[in-house]
Amino acid sequence: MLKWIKKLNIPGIAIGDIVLFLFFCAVAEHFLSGYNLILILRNCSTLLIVAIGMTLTILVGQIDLSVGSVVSMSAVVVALLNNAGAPLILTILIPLIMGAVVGFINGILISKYKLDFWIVTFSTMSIMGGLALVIANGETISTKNEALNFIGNGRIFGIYTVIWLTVLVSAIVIFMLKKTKFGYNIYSIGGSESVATASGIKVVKNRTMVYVLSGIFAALSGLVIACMTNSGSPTVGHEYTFSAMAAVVIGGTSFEGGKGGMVGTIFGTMLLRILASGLSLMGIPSTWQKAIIGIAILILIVTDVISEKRKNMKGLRRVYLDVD
Amino acid sequence: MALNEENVILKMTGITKRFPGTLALDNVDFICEKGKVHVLLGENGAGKSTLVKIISGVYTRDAGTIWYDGKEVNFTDVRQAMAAGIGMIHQELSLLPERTIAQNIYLGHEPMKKGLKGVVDYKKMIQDSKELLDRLGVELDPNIPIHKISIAQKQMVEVVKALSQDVKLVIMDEPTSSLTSREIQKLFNIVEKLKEDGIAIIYISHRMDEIKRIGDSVTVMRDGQYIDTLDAATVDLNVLISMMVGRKIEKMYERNYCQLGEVVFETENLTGLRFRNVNIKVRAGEIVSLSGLVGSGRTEIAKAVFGYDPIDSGKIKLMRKEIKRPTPIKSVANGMGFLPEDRKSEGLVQPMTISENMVSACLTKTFPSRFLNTKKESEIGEKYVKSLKIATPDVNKVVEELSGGNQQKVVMGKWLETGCKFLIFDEPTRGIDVGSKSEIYKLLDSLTQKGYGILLISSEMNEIIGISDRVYVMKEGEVTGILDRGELIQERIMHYAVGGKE
Amino acid sequence: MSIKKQNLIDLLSRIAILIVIVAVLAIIKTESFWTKDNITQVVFHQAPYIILMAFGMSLAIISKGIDISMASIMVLSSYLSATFFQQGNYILGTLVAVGVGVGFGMANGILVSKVKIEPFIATFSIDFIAIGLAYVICNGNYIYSFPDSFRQLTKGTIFGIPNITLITLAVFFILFIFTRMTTYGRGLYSIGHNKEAARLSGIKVDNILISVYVINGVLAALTGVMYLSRLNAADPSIKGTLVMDSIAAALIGGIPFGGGKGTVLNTVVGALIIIFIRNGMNIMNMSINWQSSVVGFVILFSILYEVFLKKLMANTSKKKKIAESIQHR
Repeated sequence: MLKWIKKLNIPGIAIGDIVLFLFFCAVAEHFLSGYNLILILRNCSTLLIVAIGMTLTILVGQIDLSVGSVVSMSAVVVALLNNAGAPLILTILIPLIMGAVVGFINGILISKYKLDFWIVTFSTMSIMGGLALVIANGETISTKNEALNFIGNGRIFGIYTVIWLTVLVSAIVIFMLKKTKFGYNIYSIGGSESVATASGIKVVKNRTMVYVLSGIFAALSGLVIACMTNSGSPTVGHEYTFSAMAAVVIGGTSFEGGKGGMVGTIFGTMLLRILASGLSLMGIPSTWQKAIIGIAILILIVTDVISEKRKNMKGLRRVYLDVD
Repeated sequence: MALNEENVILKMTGITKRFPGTLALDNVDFICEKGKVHVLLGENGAGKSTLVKIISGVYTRDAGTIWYDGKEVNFTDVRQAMAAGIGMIHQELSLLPERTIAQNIYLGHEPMKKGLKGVVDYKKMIQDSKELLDRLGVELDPNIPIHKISIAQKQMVEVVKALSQDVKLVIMDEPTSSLTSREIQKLFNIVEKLKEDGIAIIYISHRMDEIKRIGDSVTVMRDGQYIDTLDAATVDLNVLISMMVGRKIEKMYERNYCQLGEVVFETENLTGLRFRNVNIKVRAGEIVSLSGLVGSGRTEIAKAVFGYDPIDSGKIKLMRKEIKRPTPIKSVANGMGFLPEDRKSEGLVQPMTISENMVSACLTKTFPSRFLNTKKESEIGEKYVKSLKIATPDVNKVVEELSGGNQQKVVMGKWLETGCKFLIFDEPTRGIDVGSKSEIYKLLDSLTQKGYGILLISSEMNEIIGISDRVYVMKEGEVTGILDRGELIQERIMHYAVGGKE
Repeated sequence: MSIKKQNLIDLLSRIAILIVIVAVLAIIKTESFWTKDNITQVVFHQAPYIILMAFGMSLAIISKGIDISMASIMVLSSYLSATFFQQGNYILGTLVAVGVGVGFGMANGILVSKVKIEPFIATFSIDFIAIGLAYVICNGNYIYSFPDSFRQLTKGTIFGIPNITLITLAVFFILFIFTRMTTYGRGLYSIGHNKEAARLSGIKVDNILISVYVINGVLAALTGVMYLSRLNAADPSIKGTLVMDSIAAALIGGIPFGGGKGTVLNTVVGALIIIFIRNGMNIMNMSINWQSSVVGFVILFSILYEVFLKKLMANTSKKKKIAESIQHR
């Protein structure tokens, strides 16, 4: 059992989660209630799905800023399709395909044409964010559908469908990263692009695939949000880019690439959602929450960057100490 | 030399490769036989690395034909060459520090689970890695991550990595540059085993002693051209050297020893990232060198002294004045100059012009009013273009269009303009053609005449022996020996570099 | 081709884009676009805001960074200083606005230079915090109706030229001299091209980087105060797409993301391109929802255009080199 836990490589942030959790149990009324805990988990799921894609892009040493806009776009598309009477399967598939296409465009421009990933994904972010506003005409579109509602708010064996879905997706990605060739390639490319190329790994193809997945996961999250809220808002994904990025970095996946993994992201996501829930149950107004979370995230990012630097220095120092 | 056509695995004829600004390979022929070690000999920049990179598919040739294993081939990427059985051991280690030894050995060709497409069989990977490591006599646990092992061990993992596929031809690019003599012996044992298996080996080196130890034949290259191929067993090393440099070696280095001045630079028990208790003294008019294997801490000392990396303890004195917690800003202000090994990305701002680069280290000194004066700037540029003989039509040319040797001169000009008295040269002739090399040595010599103190870091033994007044030899972060001008022979330096303190 | 000539051709090609856009609009919407009123309104009354913001963005991009937080700093500083301006206490108001700009700019600069966080992430975080604080302080209360003398800042003219145009011109000249003619500017461009080489030449990299973000903060504060005067109200939603607009302006103007290239003159051209596209969209009655997409396309277009231009110049200089080498032989 102990070996198994060690193998999972649970990062230090898990302790942070527990401490924060216990803190809010003590200070925030109603925090430790079944209803609230499930609410936290449900809120985790939409962010986690986006953060999975973000983990992959950061693992290959880059980032995808367009995810938030893809979330919005997907939610709007779901609502519009459903209101237009499209069959369920299309309502689910079309947004996912849309996410894949956006990811593909990002991936091709970045990996094949070697354009800067920040600015490419930044421009697709504004394009998709704007298009979401255009097709929704700037308004939130409400929609109603039994099946969609089941995805968002139904339960299987007493547990919310979204939670099942999130667990399933996370498990697949963890397996993919740890056991498959594709996962190996992601770590190799993130570790060093030149080494990966010299070892015969198809960098362009794998990187493009990572962006496609990032787009699909963002779209999936948008779909889930639409199902949960029975509506599609063109600005709903606005904060997802930053939060997902924060969740990944807090979870110990470093911006340098090739280091970290999914397990950390899960805890990072939980930390953010526990924080949000705790703050609102403490009666702190929502306007303040944004600022507090922003500061907390910044502090975490700064400590992450500094500790990463320290670790690197230590690595350099050790070289002569362990010879023979 | 007799050639058995049956045994030929690789035959290259008329290979030409052009890079912007230089002709890296000019009509080169090369032949390689099964079960033989072919040493590829030449100075830095002779075109050895470019040639093997064409063989292994990293670069594509501009002209020429390649016959490999009985067929004419045209590798356009690394994968094709790998699939054809060409293994490459890179000079700069190409391992991922965060991944385990096994994962690195099988990087890019991980064993797959049968029946499950795309799923890695980790157990098999570990087992196979263990077998490979054992076969080559390397005692390492394949489960530990690369960043936990030493440089020499990494080098061994590189070798194992290249052999983890079915190889017919292995290219080794200076594999011994960071190994101790014991480890070199181990590597040579491995090479012997490979020969017995009928594998062809291309061995790049510029260490003369290794040629006779393991080479069967030796091909000399110079300035991108094929010079000759000789039998390694019978060849005269002096002949090889003159073929390599294209002239008698004595002329290469010019050194007019002069009256030494006061101490310009001194360290006391300096300890930092990869070195401990280093005491160095440099006087005006003196060239002091740091020698040692790759990873012995030579470069790290220079970087720490200049304020690039932090120091842990000890003192640094410039002109007898102690510099506490050095930073590049403080070092420059106190009269130190640093010519980094990687001049392309650290020494110069490539898209800026020659004169802009010349004044970049002394902006406030040159323009006390803080307002730029382009006329003055051009004058400074022209002054050094003339005095350092930089080959350029005008000073407004961007430095990326200059050749390596001329770029190095621009870096020199940049530091001379600051009026500093102490200069650190980190591998000043790497990647520079032979002609410019001797020019740079001449410049170094003339600097000492003018009273500069110079600290030279170099991996080229000839260079160190040729122009140093005193050499500090390093091993694993410590100075193991100090040799004066009269004591400078290759064997003694190597003795301290691989051996230990006496 | 010499580097100066290349830069000139680059700039001229951007001006050509601007002219094409203006010409197309003038032809298809002559009566509503090509009028003295509309053009003066666009150039002298609307453009200054985006030009000022884009100046800051350009400095950040030249230093190989970016500043996502500018618009939020603008909102926050205008909000915090609004009460003072309302009471007619201009000195205190200015101090508060500039103080906020300097403070947040300093935070950005320290995160980027000392802590060495990617500029995108560092300024993204500061953006989140600044806009969060703006909403906290606003708390749903809008501050409106400012004294007339304050409103003269944007309404007034000197010799028939609007004040804000003059302010923008003044800032332009200061920044141009600062970046192109001083040792500070040389340091800035060196950092943009190659930070490591600059550091190893003893250039005060950290100080210059911090100063860039501080200048951005001040420019954001200035723009914020101008908005207060123009809108006669403090409103967090003025943030809009200003950050994207200014990034797009810098990039399309010829200040590539790779750093070290372009001048504030490029910024002016780029900002005018953006503002005319905006104006054209208004005239053609396009929904405001299109704004962000169009800007996104402009950004994408400009990075592709950059690649195209680079290839073009590389080709011509290659041909020239081959011709030269033939002559030498």
